[in-house]
Amino acid sequence: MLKYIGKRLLMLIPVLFGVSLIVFFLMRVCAPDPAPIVLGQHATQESMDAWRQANGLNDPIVVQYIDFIKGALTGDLGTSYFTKAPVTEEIMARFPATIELALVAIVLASLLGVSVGVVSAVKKNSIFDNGGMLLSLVGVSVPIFWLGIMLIILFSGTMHLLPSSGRIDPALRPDTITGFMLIDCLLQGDMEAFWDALRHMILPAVTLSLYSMAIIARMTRSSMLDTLKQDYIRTAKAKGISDGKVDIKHALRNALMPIVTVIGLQLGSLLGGAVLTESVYSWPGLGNYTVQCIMKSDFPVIQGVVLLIAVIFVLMNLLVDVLYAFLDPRIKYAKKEV
Amino acid sequence: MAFGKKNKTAAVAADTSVVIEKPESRLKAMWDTLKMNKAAVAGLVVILILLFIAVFGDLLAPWDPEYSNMSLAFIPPCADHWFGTDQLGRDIFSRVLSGTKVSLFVGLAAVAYSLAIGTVLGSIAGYFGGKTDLIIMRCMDIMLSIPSILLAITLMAALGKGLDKAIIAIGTVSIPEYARIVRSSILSVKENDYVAAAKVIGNSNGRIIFVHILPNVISSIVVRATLGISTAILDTAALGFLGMGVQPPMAEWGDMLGRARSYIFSAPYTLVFPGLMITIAVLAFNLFGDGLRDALDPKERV
Repeated sequence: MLKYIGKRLLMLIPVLFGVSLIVFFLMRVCAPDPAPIVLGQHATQESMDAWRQANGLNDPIVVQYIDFIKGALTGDLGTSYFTKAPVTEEIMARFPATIELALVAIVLASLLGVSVGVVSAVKKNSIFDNGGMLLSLVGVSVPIFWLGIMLIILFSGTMHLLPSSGRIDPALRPDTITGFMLIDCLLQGDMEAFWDALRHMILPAVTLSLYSMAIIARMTRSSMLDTLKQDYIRTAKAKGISDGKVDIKHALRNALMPIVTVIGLQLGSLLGGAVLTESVYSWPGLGNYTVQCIMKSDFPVIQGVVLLIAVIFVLMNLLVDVLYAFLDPRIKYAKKEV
Repeated sequence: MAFGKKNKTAAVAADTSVVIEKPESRLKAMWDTLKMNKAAVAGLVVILILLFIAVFGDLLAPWDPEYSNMSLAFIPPCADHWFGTDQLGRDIFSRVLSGTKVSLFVGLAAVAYSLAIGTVLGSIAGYFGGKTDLIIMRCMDIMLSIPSILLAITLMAALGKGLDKAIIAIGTVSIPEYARIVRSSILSVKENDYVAAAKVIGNSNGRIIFVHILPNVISSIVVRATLGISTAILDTAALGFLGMGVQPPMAEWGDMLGRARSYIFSAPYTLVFPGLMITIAVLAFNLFGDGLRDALDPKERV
């Protein structure tokens, strides 16, 4: 197992190398010259030349790439064109907000998705099944940003129940310890701030989770339907075990494998969805920041963000594969990758 | 001579019987199953209506979708302006109709583009195997390790705004999916006798792939492409929403949402209908695509 994990981690290297190559090529070769955008329309030729020189953009492209890789290996991803702060600092300042949102969303999506899927499978062709599947069909079809807008109109604009932007009321903002707002509030015992942060979290998390919920619900339903057909389920029912117990303890447990896969893969794709959700809710996370950086041609930041997200994405896939082995002891990765 | 003639007649008779007993084509069989699926038929009907709007939308529109008149700004839905007017006084109903052609065109073109490149790459990888396969599929893995919407906006940042660029960006991010599907389909049929036979009689590799192999795996590609259109429409709208889509004053659903979002509390009706249209279009392609998949392979039904 360890050998397998080690091998997979080694395979990360070419993937990250490739990702860095793609992003670097796009940003430095295809993209327009950032100097006029960064310095403004009225910048003089001399000042733009000086700026390019200072940021190493006059070097041959290969030299630029090697410099970038050298820096990246030592944890230095360059400095932002605008804030002049190191890219790693810029990213780390916003990363917890995105992770917190994504984690709450995936928990929400898993709980609701698995529940809807199980009910749909157990009560197949009932009104619950049809309703659940209709909901999940809408879930994969509705644009995430429009859903966000509609929820804001409904819950903030019309009912005035929930806030529509930000992570917390600025007046209640706790000191930063972990960067995770909910945890920071709890650590400082400030329940008022905690509830406020939670209220700010509800709409973005619901918005971000709907798509994943729909996918998880569909997968749970089909996996449960397969399992419920098995002989051991009939045997268990014949033995007089209650339906509910059979459905959960016997069926759901055995149906869990594909569900876990989907949940793991969804956590990765949530990071992509976060770009849009954060933009709608002005959530001070990485996704929102990336969009702003793309608008401003802040290349070093974009490179850093894409690399980071690719690492998380690939690690999530690895985690899913490893979880497989724990959930199903029949799978062994020791000899040959299947 | 007579013997030979008799033989020939027999051969002709055999030929005729072959024609008569020829099994229904897979597409015909698919269509027959599809017809029974009400949701899929509903999806198809909506797609046809959307295509009609895309072609005749500008003629059907009661107002010029690009004509702005500030004195008409922010009129709530009424008899003259069914969906109201936007921040520049343009009729939202007309713009929603006009936006249909953009979304459908970008959706179809992006899928066609990624399908073409993905099919070629997947075919080469699957057919030749070995190092070629390894290199192509590793490149696809690298592309798959960046979330598609992030890769698409990075591409847009590099290429600049515009519909043609949106097609390239949205199409490029789904190339790996098609390459994977085509590759695995090719792997599953390439050991068949008819491929070996085609090789023996001296067909070129290109001919074997495109004439002998691909037609046999086309149905799974068609299903994926139909579902791919819905993803492409969503991605188009997302790029438009982030301000990376069409150039003003052209109407595009996502772009309409992006520009009207500042008026979310003062004029919420400006944000309802474009999003509703995106949802309807995506839903239609999803329903139709799901139906196609079920018709093709009932085992895969989810």
